[in-house]
Amino acid sequence: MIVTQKWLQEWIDISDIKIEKIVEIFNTIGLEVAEIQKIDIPPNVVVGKVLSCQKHPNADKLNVCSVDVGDEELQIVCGATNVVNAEYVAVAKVGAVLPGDFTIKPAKLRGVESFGMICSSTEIGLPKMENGIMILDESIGELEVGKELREYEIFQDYVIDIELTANRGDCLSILGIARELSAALQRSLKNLVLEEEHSTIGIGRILHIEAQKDIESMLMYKAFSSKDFKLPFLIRYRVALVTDEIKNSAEQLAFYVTHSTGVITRIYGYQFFHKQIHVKKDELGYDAVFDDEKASIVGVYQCDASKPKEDEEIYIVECSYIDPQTIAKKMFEHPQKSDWVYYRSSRGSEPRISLGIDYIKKVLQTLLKGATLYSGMQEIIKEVPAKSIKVEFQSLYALIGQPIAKNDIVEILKSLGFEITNFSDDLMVIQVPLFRHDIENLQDVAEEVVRMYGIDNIDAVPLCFVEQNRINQAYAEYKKERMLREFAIANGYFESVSYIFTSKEILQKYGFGVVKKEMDLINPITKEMDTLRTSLVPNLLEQVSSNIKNGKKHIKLFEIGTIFTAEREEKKSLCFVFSGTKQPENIINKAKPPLVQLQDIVEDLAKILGDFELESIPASNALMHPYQSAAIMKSGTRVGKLYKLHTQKQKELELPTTYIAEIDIEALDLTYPKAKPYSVYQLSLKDLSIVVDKDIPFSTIKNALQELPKEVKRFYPIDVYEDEKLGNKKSLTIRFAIQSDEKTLTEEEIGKILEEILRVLQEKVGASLR
Amino acid sequence: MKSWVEKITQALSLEELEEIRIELFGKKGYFAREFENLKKLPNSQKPKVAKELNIAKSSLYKQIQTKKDELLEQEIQKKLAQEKLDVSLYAPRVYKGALHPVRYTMDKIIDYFLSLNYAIETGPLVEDDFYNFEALNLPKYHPARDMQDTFYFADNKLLRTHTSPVQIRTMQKQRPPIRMISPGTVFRRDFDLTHTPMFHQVEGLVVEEEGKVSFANLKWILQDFLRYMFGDVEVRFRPSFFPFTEPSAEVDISCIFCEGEGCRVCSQTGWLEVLGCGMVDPNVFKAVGYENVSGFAFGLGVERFAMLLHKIGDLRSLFEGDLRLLEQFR
Repeated sequence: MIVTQKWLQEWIDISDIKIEKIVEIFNTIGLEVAEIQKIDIPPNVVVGKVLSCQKHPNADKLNVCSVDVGDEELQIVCGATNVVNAEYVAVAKVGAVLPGDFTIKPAKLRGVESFGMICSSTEIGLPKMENGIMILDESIGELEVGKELREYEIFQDYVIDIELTANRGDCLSILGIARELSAALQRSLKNLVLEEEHSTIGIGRILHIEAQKDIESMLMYKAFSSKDFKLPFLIRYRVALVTDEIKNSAEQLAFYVTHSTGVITRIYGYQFFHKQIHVKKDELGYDAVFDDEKASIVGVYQCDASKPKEDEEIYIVECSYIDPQTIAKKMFEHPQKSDWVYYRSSRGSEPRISLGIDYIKKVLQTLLKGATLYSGMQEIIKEVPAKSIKVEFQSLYALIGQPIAKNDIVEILKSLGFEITNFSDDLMVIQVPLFRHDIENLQDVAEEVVRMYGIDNIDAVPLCFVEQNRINQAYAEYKKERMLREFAIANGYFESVSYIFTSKEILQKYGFGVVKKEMDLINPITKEMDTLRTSLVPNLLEQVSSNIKNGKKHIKLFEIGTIFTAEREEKKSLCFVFSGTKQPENIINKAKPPLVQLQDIVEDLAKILGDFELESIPASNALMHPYQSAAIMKSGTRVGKLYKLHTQKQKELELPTTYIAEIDIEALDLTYPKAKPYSVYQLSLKDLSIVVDKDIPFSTIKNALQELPKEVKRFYPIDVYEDEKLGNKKSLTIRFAIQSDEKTLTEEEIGKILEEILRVLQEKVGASLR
Repeated sequence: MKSWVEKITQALSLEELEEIRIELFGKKGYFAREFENLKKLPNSQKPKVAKELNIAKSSLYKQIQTKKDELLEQEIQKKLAQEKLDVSLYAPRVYKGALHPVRYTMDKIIDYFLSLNYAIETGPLVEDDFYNFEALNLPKYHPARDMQDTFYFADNKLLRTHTSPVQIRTMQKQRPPIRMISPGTVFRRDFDLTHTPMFHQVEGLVVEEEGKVSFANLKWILQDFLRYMFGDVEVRFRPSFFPFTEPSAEVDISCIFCEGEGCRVCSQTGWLEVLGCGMVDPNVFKAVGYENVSGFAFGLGVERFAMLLHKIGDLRSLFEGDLRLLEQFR
């Protein structure tokens, strides 16, 4: 909402208040000032009077003008076509410095000398008004040739952009904002001073209104006649400060009245009507204004056909009001094109529509000299009942958190237009002004009191409450995630956050599942993010890839985030990516660190997740290496998978060696580990080197060794090798930790145990001693 | 005698010293021989010479020991010197990783409210109209509901545009008193310099019996919270509007970059807007079937906090996994 200091002055006297103070008041009462701009026309730009205007001898599009600037007459070459009809204009004299550091110097244009410039509005820092140069008139004050424009009061102004919240339709006008200032400053508003109407022709002679009974809006009509309708500078200028979208002059006038008063105002060309206006429901149930054709929909839009034409002589002014909820609901049910009016009508325009009629009367009487008003009005008026709210003081105090003097409350509410209809020690009944659509209950009233009383004047008080255990499932999950994240960073991984969106095409290309079409996004923001991710991997790989492009060689990333199933169920996932070199370059590896290997990420993961085992699994998507893919098993439960990025995909993505681990957080059991008794006797480590078929994975051997004598505490592979001599066999060395719980074992006893191990291996996996 | 002392003193290595020791104390060594010779002396001289010999023996023995210690020490020193390294070559090249600045900021926020005994509550990202809008006093035709901003699914579900649906779900599941925060991811259909389609919010809600929770309480906790986050800042409340709270306010802190003087970050205003809050609107309580209760709610954008706290200039860079940014937080 755009207001200016001088425009507000029409409704409230704020001439003695500094602009900074006004901004501060706006902010404290809930009208957030988004921007403030000083109107600043440069010096040496003066009122000039065009005395003559002739075609340039050497250029069709230029005119050579003689302009009176008070102390002298200047010859100025001007390119604007509208200079021909101009009388008073803005002239930048030689020496003037216009915005953009443009200094006016004497110049020769196509052989003709020019001493200054006739300016358009934008050239002197004003908003764009019309094509060509800016044409001045007396609406800015008495025109004195040679007077600097910056000396005119209307240009000593500030434009304030207020970011209005959606509930404050009542502030969508200069009057509305002035009303807020009046409450904050405890200063009354000015009244509109109108001249007597002395027109002899009544509106009834030219216009009849007929309205259907079920019409929900209020309407008032007034007419005026004007030959050669031209808007005064002041109105064109102020409209231009607010909008550049309205081109029709009469519509600009309607906008000006609406923006000034908040009353929805339209102007029709009389030619469109045949003396008769029908107000009735249209085919969608909107209140609409008709002749034979539709002229407008109340509060929504005006048909171009009913806008005044160039040669129009009689103008019909319409002020209207429709309940904001009614029109917003209608619009939701039957969407309809709309113009600038709808934004206001749907947020609540000024219901006292006669105000709009009075205001346009005033404009016509003071600014539009050639216009003649028809006397009287035509109207369709409905009684809008005022809302009453019962306010118990104790409830109000409890909501705010402290008592506020009743006098202050009453003063605040009265200044905002509320009426106190009943008042006692405990409660009062207040009547809400019609223009405050947003006030419905005690809380709304509390807000009015709080914002005018000043939040700064309310003391902060800590809340007293009864203790309660608030540790719940969500807390446990958060703690688990936080622990995993801390462990991950301790092992050199950087936490990443990526969008939950990804490309369906890429998911499909990689062989990941996708969300079912009938449950997928219908309005994605880009093609690259046209569906929900079903895995964290694609986005993370993309991040790895851009890091590689940025010259990074050692990349460890992880992310915890939500992924979705085909049925769009949500699931938390944890993903690690280790790409490139095992370490950064350093002095020990002579800047040639080896590439990451499976064991590197396995060790990292163990430090993050605790003990686990890997079981070989087949690749289940196109990113997985067919021979380096594993299920991560923790106490017999599968908690995720670990794999090398497929060589082909690695090439396509231009990545170095990359390992990926996807962990199902839910499956990770982080309950209390249980301690077992441990042996205090000598532990022996014994290695067995065996020869087995090449294709037998270690996990099979491990399974084969499930039932060993209880003295075998644990075992693990320490060497594996294959060569030509071994053919399709491999040599494997396993280290066994042997220990009794009862005594120190003799060499003989240990030997027996080893024999037993070997026997099992021979029997179950066909192993032989090397 | 003198020459022995000289020999010991001049020994250069432990080996040399050992040779001297054997020459002196070995079975066929000097003292063995001397004591042998002692037998040949007349008895009257024996005690005196024996005494002199014993004194010399113990003195030389001590000197050898001392020399040995000295040589051992020299040897260790030599070994140490051989192990000399230019430690300045060994600056760390591997570090710990780092939490993402947004998640870290969220942790910090959560820590505050956990310590004040707020519960953490979570909810689904895919929501329906009721939880995301309707129940929050945003009926379908409400002008504050901008359809452009919401991601919709083919089955009319939507991605939550704020964490507020969690309030509704929690109120439906539990009974007052409620004191909760709902940290999480939210989505708006907006993508430019200052908007990303996904971002993070933390929302807070307190519900108690009617009359127990006031605007003054809301003011207290937010002032305290913002000073915990940003240090000694001024906190300003401006009346505002949200469909789900009434009275509502926006909360500013004095600019942490220019201390209120006015700079580019605060658009010369001296203030930074950081929070929205208010007393829960009766229509919200009505939607979950609560009667005779009072409460407050607040919500904040985590990215905004993170960017201010860590001086991050580009919002979009937060979602790119770019190590050039992330490495700065380790």
